[in-house]
Amino acid sequence: MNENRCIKCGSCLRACPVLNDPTGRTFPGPRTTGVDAPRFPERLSMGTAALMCTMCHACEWACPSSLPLTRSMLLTREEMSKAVPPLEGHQRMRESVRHTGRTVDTDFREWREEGAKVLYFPGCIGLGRLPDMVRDTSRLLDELGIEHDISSKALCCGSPLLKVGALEEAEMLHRHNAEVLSSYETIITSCPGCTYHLREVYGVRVSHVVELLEGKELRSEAEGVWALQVPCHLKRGVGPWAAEGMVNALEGAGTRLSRIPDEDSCCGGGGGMLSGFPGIASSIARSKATSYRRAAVSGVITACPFCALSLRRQGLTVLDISQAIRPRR
Amino acid sequence: MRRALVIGLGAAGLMAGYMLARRGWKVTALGRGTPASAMSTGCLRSLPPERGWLEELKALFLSAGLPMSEGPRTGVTNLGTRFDCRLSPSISTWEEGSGPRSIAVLGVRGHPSLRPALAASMISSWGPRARTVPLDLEVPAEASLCPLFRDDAHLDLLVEGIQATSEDAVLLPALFSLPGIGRWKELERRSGRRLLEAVTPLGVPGQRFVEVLEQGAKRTGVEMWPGRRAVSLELDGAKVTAAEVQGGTERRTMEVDTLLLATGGALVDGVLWKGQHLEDPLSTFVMVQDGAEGGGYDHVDERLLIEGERIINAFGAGDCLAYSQGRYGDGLAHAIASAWRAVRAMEGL
Repeated sequence: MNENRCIKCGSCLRACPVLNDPTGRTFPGPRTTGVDAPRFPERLSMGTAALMCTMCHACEWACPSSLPLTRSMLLTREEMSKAVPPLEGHQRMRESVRHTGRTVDTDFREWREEGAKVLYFPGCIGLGRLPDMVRDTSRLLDELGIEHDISSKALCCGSPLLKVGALEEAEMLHRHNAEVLSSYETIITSCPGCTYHLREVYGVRVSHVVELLEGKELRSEAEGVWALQVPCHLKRGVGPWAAEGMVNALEGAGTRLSRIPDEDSCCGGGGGMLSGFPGIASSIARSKATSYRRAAVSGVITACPFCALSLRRQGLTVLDISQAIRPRR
Repeated sequence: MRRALVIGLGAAGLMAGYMLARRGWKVTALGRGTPASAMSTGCLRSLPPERGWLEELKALFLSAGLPMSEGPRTGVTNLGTRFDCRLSPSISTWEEGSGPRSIAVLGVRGHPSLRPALAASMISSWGPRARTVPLDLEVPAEASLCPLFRDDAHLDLLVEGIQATSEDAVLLPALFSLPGIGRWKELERRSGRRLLEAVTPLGVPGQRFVEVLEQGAKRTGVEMWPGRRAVSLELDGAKVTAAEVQGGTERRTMEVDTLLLATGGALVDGVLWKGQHLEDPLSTFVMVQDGAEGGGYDHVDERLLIEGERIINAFGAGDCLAYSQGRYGDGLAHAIASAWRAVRAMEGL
C-alpha cells in the first residue's frame, strides 16, 4: 500500500470505535499502526497495544485516500507477532485451534453430511456459542428450499488466526478446508468475517445468509419494535449492498424497526478483541447496549455471531436475522 | 422522470443531488471516504457573483438548526487568527462593526483544536483584548476528534467556566456535532453570555457542513450509496450508458441516464495524481494539467469532454473540475457554486 498518500487528516482516528471508548485510549490508533508502523519499524515497539483493534474497517471507510488500513494493520500484527509474546486470550484461541480445529470448541452434533451441493458454514462462534442460531439458519435454508450440509469436517476459516498473527495455522486450515469445500458448489455463511475471508482469501463462491434473502417473500417473526446492529464486517467488509439487503429483508417482512444513529458502529467483538482485550470489548458493547436501551426496543437484530454474542453478554435480547424472519408461505 | 447518478458525497455532489431532487430528478448518489469539505472550516470565504444557490443553501442550514449569516463576517480561528468570510454559521462569526472588544478563551485541557494561551495572545495581537480561562476539565488527546460533550456533567462545567468570565464574548472550541448542536443553544441560554465557536478546520464544523447537506439530500429523496466508488464507465459514442460500481467485495453495473462527477481533487481520492500528471481514474475524460486553470477534468460549461467532443450526458462539479483557483480557502464556495452551475446545465438538457 502507499502510505505516502496519508494526508494526516485524522478521519481514521475520529472513526475508530476503540479510540472513542474510554478504555481504549492506549490504542496507538489506525494511523500509527496502519500508516506509520510499516514505514518506521521502530514503532513496532508499541507492544501489544497495537492489537487493540476490532478490525471494523471504520477507519478505512473514512479514509479520504482509500488507504487499505485494515490490511496494513494486519501486516503490522503479523510482524509484531514475531517479536511480542501472544496475549493470553489469543494463545488460548490458538491452542483451541490446534486441538479442535476451531477457535472455540463445540457441543453441536447435528451435522448434516448428505452430499448436498450447498454447504452451510456456521463458523466457530456460531457452532460453539450460538447453536440456536445455527439450527434456525439451517431451518430457514430448508424453508427456502435450499438443501444443504453442515459439515463436521469444515473447520475454522482462519480469519481470526490472521488477526493474531498465526499465519501457519491459518494456512494449514486453509489447505484442509479447501479440500472439504471443493465438494460443494456454494457455501452459505452466518458470519460476515467468514464470508469475507472465504470470498477474498479462498476465492470460493460464498453467500452470507442476508444475500440469499434478496427478492424473497418474507414475513416477520419478531414481535414488537427492534433495533439493528449492522455488522462491521457485513457493511464495510462484505459490502454495503449486503448490509442494505439485511435492512430491506426485514422491512420487506414487515418487521417494525427503530433505526438508531450508531446502529452500524462496532460492537467491540471483532479482531480478536473478545479474547485478547475482553475489558475493552465489553466496554464498547456496553455503550452500544446503552444506546439500545435508550431506544426502548424489544431487542436487537443482527447478522453476525460476534455481534450477537457481544450484545447478548450485555443482557440484551439479540436475534440473528435467521430468527427474525421466515419465508411467506 | 429524469434520472441522475451523482458520484461523490462531498459538498459539490450532495448540494447538486439535493438541488436536482428538489427539481424533480430521481437521484442516486454514491461515494466513499471523508470528503475535503468535511475537513474545511464549514465557512465560505467568498461569494461568487452568481448566487442562485445562496437562498437554497441558507434555508437548508436554517432547517438543520445551524443558521448561517451572510455578509462580511469575522471570526476567530482555533489558532486565534482573524478569519474573514462571507457566509458562516452564525455561532462562529460577527457582523462588521459588532465585534467583541474583549474575548475570554475557554480552555479545555488536552483539547488540541483550541490552545487557549496561543489563541489569546494571537487575538490580542490583532484586535480584541483576550485572556485564557482554564477549565477544570480534561479531555483525552483525541477529543477534538471524538465529540464527548454529550453528558450533562461536562456541560455544567462549561456553564460554570463561562459564567466566571467578564469579557464581551467567550471563545469555545468546536465541541458540538450536528446532532448535539442543541447543546450550543443550551449553553447560551444557561450562561446568558455571548458565545463564539472557534473557526476550526479538520474538525466538527466541516463535518457538520457535510452532514447538513447529507440530511437535505436524504430528505428530498436522494438515494444514498455510501462506501462505494465507480471504477469504470461504459460509453456509446459520446454518451455514458453505464457505470461499474465497487462496494466492499461486490461490483454492480448501473445504467446511467445523466452522470455528474463530483469526486474531488487529488488531495482526497478524486482525480489521480500520478508522478507529475493528473489522470482520470475512470480513464474516460479529457484532463487539464495544473496550470493557469487549476488541474482537473476539462469542461465546457460543466460538461465533460472526451477526445474531440463534448459528452452529451456527463457533467462535473467541485474540485475534480479544472477551475481558476481563487484565494486559499475558496474551495467550499467553488464546490457549491459549481454544483449549482452543473445543475443548471443539466436542467437545460
